[in-house]
This record gives sequence, C-alpha cells and structure tokens, in this order.
Amino acid sequence: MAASIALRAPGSKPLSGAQERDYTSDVKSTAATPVSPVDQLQADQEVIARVLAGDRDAFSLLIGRYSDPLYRHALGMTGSPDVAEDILQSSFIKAYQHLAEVHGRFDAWIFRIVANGCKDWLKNIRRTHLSYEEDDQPSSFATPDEELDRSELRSDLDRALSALAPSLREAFVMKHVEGRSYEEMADLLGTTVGALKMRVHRAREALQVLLEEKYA
Amino acid sequence: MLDDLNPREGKSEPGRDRPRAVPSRPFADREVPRGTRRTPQTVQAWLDGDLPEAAVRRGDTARDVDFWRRIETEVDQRRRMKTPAYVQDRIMQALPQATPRVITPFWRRQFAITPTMAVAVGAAMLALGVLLASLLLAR
Repeated sequence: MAASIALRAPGSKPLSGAQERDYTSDVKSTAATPVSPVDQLQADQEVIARVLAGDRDAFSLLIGRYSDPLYRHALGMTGSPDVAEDILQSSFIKAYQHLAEVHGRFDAWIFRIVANGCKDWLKNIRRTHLSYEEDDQPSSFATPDEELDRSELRSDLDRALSALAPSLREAFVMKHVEGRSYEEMADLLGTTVGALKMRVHRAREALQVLLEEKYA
Repeated sequence: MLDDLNPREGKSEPGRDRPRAVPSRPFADREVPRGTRRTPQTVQAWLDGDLPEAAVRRGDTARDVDFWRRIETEVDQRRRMKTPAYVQDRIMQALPQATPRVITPFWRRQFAITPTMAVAVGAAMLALGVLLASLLLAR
C-alpha cells in the first residue's frame, strides 16, 4: 500500500496573521514527542504513574503532547474554535479523573473521549452557522483578493462538512485535516480499513457535489 | 369542462430537475447527494496516495485534480492549527485537586476475613439453616 495522502498543494500558504497569533506563537511546547510508538507508550505510562503518585502538574505533559491533534479533530468536527476548546477541556478533565483506568495507549484512549464528546455535541446541538469569519484578519502573506477567496472557501467548506453525516465528517477530518493513515484511523476507531476508505470516498463525493459548482 | 393543457399528462420532464442546495439536515451514513458527476475512482486513488498526480491529471479528471488542490489549500491551513496556549492553562486550573484513584467495584475488592468475622458468619448461617428447617418441618 502506498503512503498516506499525497495531497499537498504546492502553493499552500502560511497561516493568516490572526491564526499565527492565536494558534502558533503562544503555544508552549511542554514535551518533546517520543520517537516510536513503544517509546511513546512507555513515556505516557511514566507520566501517568507520576500523576497517580500525586504529581498533578505532570498531567500538563500529556496535555502538551496530545492537545494539538485532538484540538484539530474537535475543530474539524464542530467547526467552532470555542466548542473545540470546551470539548478538549472536558475531555482532559474526564481523562484525569479516570486516569487510573488507562491500561493501554493513552493517545487512543483520550482520542475516543474527544471523538465521543464531538459526537455528543453534534447530536445535541441544532447548528446554525458557525465559521471562522470572526477571527479573520488580513494576512501579510496574501493579497486582499486571495484573503477574501480563502475566507469564502473556508466558510463554504465548513457548511459542506456540516451537511455530512457525523461518521463521514469524522473520516474526512481524520484523513485530510489530521493527515492520518487508514491503518491509524482503523486502530483509533476500532473498525476496518475498508470501511473507513468507503466513508472517506463517500465524504469526498458529497463534498465535491456540494462545492464543485462554485470551485471546480 | 376544462382541457388538460399538460402535454405530458403529469409525467415528469427529463432534464428539468432543479439543482439542490445544501440540505438543512445532515446526510445519512450511506447517503451521497445527487449531482451531475461523481468523484472518479482514479481521483479517489490519487487522494489516497495510491496513484501519482501525473496519472490523474489527464482528460476529464484534470478538473477534479484542480478542485481538490483548491480544497487542499484550506485543509492545509487546518492541518497546521495548534491549540491556543491559554487552553492548556485553563485545563490545568480546572483539574480536580484530588489525585485520581482507582474506583474498584465492591465485587472485585479483596476482603480480609478475621477469626471473629468467620465465627459470626458461621453462626449466622447456622441460624439461617435452623430457621429454614423449622419452617419446612412446620408445614
């Protein structure tokens, strides 16, 4: 099987000014990412042991290690930075309270908590219109026309994603936004690679139907 | 009596379906919206990383490649997003002060039986047996 997504636009642009400020420059790198999955598992278990022994601050290592992919997942699923932050916070609190029950991979366990939080939110909320437009600021890297196009594409993609069934949206976000392989997705979601390929393909078809008239 | 002016007698006219806007409800799990064309399998394979771009940038599928390249510009922005720094501080402040502990259900807990407890349980069982026997004999 070939490597994961080959999609990487040659002309892809850096984050806009507001996003740079909000999402990049203030981020604290609290822990280096372990190299191999075995190292990662071991490093996580060491941190968990420290927390269970009473070192509450050690939990920030786990937050620093896993918050970014989890935040991207929550943001992709909900379309709202505020909701994504709330889901992330409640998930980490839940993880802390039940930390003694982790027997395998912490990353897979916390991912399931966040994913379930997103699905619960989608079930409970009647969505109106959520977009990033409030945060948009002119970027120093793009012309005003490019910025306008990007902002429009962003809200159109949000709208199209919100029209998908949660399982299709989840598969598309994991594959394209989070850049995960099908094997990794199957591992995290407890399903087969074939089923996930089918979901991603259906999500792409739906998105293309919804967006191609304007963007093809 | 009025004439029926509909030459098709109520039958639908092909090619006159109105285009559908984005629906107000989410699609079901296996539902794909109707459209003019579907994403070709070669494009799906390219998006999955199974085919090089050169293999799909030919003929009709070139349009699909351009479309997905455009979508990718937005997806790429999202892929590089990071958690705002204040979120970590907020989470740490919201954590309970108590150290997390294992909550074992009572049926999995270990019991230490002392001699006194063993004698008490034995006496209780004997009394229960006597009571049951007396009830059976009384019938």
